[in-house]
Amino acid sequence: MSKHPVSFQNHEINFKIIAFAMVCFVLCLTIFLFLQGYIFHFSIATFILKFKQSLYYPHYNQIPFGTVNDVNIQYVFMCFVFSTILISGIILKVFSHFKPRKFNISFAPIMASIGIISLVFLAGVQQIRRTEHLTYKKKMFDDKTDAEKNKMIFGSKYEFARISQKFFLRSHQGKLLTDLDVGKSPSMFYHRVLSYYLYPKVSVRIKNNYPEDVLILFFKKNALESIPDNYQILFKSENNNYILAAKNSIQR
Amino acid sequence: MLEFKLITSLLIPLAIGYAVILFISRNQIMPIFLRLALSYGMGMGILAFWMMLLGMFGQTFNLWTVGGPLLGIALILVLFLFISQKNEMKYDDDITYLNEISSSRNESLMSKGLKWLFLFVMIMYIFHNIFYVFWHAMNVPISTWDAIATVAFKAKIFYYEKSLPPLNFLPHKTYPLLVPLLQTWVTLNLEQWSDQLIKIIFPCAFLSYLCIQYYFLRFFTNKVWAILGCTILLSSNFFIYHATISYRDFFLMYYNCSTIMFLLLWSAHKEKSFYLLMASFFAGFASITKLEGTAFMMIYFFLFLLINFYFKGSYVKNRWINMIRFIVPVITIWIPFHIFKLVTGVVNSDKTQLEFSVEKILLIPQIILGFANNLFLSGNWNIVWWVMLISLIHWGRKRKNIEVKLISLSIILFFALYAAVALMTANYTWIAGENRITGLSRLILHFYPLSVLLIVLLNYPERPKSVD
Repeated sequence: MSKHPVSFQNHEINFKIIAFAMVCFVLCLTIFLFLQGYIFHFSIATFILKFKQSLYYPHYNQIPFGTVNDVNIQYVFMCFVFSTILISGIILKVFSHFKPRKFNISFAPIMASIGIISLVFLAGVQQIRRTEHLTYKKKMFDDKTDAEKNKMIFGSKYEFARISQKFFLRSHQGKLLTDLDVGKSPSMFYHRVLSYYLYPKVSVRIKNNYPEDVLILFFKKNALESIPDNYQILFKSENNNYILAAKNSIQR
Repeated sequence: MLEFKLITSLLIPLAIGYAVILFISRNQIMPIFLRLALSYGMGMGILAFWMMLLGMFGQTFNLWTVGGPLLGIALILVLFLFISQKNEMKYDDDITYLNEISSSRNESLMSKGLKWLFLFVMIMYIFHNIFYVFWHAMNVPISTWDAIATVAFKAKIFYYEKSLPPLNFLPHKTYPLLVPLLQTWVTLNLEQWSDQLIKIIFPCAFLSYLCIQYYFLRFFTNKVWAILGCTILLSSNFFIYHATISYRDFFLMYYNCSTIMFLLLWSAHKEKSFYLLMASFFAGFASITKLEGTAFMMIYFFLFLLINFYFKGSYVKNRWINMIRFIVPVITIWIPFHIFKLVTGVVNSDKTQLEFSVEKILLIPQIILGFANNLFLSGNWNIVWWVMLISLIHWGRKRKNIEVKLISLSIILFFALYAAVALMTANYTWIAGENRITGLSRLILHFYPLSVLLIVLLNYPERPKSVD
């Protein structure tokens, strides 16, 4: 037995519901934009700009919503949405009292339609922010090589790892010495970045089949004194924050 | 040349997935975009599973050992189908066009015009976001925490070691390996490591999921509502951003929500075993994507039992056959990695250790508050969860609709599962504790699209026949 959904549609009612919801939404939005001046003391243009600016700050853990005068903008927007729903309910009640035949529509779909219209409206404004974000990223990353992009993101950590790789012909086991607490952010992330870009020539986080013969000194106080006698310095940054040392016996 | 190699790295799993889909869907007509979308998910899952088996048995990773046997099997399947179908030219119903849009003779010109304008704007919105996701993924190199620390780092190790090293040597050694293995596969094709190009698998998964969701919604509603569903889905900043970075959560979302959708499709068409098999395969792939995928199997199994034994629609004998159809692929995909962990002594993870005390029950309000803050006051989800709550006003009218009930139940089960994990393991800190900002959003991402499906199905004005 196949289950084909019944397909009947009262397009006129659906159109009325959506049209009513749209009109209420636009009306309430207009009123809100004027009223916000008394609440937030911004001009309409400034408020719209601040609203748009608060909408897209991408992050892999959680994306915050911006604030307007220290008030979460999502909270403000939802207050607006619920007010719109309330006002549309009152308008419908009044109109259906005076013109019952024309406004014989249920409130439930209007309520849901206002929710969806608000969502689509917010998505539209948000899309402007996404486009700005894309334009900003394009300016940053277009016409750059992979190495230039990585250097832009990770700075000296990437540069040091990239230069270090050139000193070795094969893989080596390395040890990382640092005074930073690599058990906590942000030092933990710096450690991960160095390990990622040093690999495969120098393996810091996983054991390979080679004996440990490379030292990486990274933000270590009195770093030069920490280097054993049978090690030679291959490369160091000007401020000694990054030092690459290897056993005298290794082949390079 | 590099671009050609990149395309090849996608075409091979696509071909493998296509052959398998062709084999299990047999005579069913399917739009080509849906078939390609499903082929991507299936192919990538099979590829990762095969690489995992190769690694477990100490075999090297190269194009021949990985791609060769799979392409061979794909060829055999296609040949078999070709030979068997030469004698049978019978075609079943088109599985997606069962809800034909009724003629819109009664629609006024104005409402038709507005509908097309609305559709045009939504389609432009969708395409703009597809461009954003692809550009961002392919032009911004890996820079996020999990990518640098585990996902891409493991892929790099697998590529340079040309195999799976002992799990004990790896960071986060108990974590399943689907995503790192897929990135290793891309690198094998490129023949060089690229911090950017390995991310190609994420925007492709994004596009594939979008297609699957579109056709799912089209099955139960119509074109306009299906496109609206995709628009609402893409309104989430977190969803869009995670399609561009090298995190495993997006793939888990993909397989998890696809499994739920296939179970729902199967509940509407119990005679089509294709849906059940797809749900089973994707459930298995979810279990080798993240540790949560194993926990999700409880939810899948519960939904399966409900649909198979509680809802009417199939004979008793078929119910037991369905059990086999569902359990065998899931377990076949799930079990090898766990046996491997057992054999190599890598079983205990701090994330899966049980830690329950009665005092923890007092943390329930904190857990609810943590979820509420994330769902309703963060910038992750637009106002999708708010609109889902508002849409529940239609519950009275839709309460007999099986799909609405099952999706609502799924969402509740996912929340309950994470609440239970917070109460009974050491993961409270990542879900509702001081570290919730680093973990909770990604957990919700795993089932966020279900809220979109519920919004569309609740608000869709027609009355479907699929009631219990």
